[in-house]
Amino acid sequence: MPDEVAAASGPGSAPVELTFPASSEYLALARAATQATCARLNFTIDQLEDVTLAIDEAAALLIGDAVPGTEIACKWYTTATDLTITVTSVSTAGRPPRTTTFSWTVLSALVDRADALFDDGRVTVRLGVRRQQIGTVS
Amino acid sequence: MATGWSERDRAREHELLAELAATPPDDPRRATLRDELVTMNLPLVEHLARRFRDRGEAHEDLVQVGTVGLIKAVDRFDTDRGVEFSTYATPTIVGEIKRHFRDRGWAVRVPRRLQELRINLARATSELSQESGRAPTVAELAKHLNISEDEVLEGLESAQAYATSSLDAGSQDGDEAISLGSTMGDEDEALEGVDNRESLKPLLAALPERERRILLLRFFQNKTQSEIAEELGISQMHVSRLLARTLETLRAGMLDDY
Repeated sequence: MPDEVAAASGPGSAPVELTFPASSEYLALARAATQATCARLNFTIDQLEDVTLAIDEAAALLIGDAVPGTEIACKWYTTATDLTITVTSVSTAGRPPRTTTFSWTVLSALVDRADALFDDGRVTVRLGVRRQQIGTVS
Repeated sequence: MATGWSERDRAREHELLAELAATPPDDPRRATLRDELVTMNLPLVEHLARRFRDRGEAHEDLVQVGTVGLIKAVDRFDTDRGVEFSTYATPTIVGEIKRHFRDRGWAVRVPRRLQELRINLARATSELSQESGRAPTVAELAKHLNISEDEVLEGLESAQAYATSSLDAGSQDGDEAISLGSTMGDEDEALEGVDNRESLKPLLAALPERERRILLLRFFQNKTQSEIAEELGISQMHVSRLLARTLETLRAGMLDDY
């Protein structure tokens, strides 16, 4: 494992954070940050693209029910074993997203774990991906 | 572009434009005149939209946005300028189509360097996948191509952003040649337990066969993007892009999916 990855994966490493207006035109920022994070964690291209699709889906889902003028906050937490991404919005829904929708089916298929929390007007979708130890080629 | 137009069509257009110019803005007859002008110029929109084919957008969508440009041109045309309406309308229609690509985050022209980067990445991804039996990482791609990891990311992003061109050009025939058969049965089974499936079904039915197939393979048969790429004979980057676009289309169509 490259040194920089090992360093980033130590316990207590600070999350990467990104906040942007709750509008789909900013989704590219969340995607770019996700791709860069996944690359640094040595994810395969398949995983990287899946996680990127997942953050896109999660953020779009939350943007759909966000209070106008509020922000979406994304955080990328890295540990030795996992990448966890949280996406939080100020929601008009008063509840977390339903987990029986197609959107949720998509999310669950793209990452290893997906769950949603509702607290004090804010909805957080949490996506978890296991970091697999992969052998090196070439 | 008055190909196929008779002298009479042209005369009729002049007549309509003159009449429209002479009609006060609040006159209800304006709408009728406008409609006829728009309808008779739709072939121009069709023609211009075809110039943008192979850029990954459905022809019908481009005709639709092009028509918006046509309507603007009808509203703004000044008969005193002494130019043909089609000459005036063409840049407005093309402008509207280009704006559509821009709004979707897709530049109309792909810089040569990025095109080459994407082609190299697609090739390297396929080679490395065959070698190791799994998709490569960004670091492996960078090493293989002797470029930086940032450049790899840039290439992946541009593959996502630009909806088109040489990367996929070679696979176009192959795509169409794939016999996908009916996936409706799989679909019903796959959607069991999804509670908004009724609003989803017409959206899925409207998807191109290949896009629907990729969606099912990825989300209901749990195939990886690389496996799907191999099965369909296209690049993994192409699969990723089609998936992203399909999900976006479905999201747009299912506003109640929360």
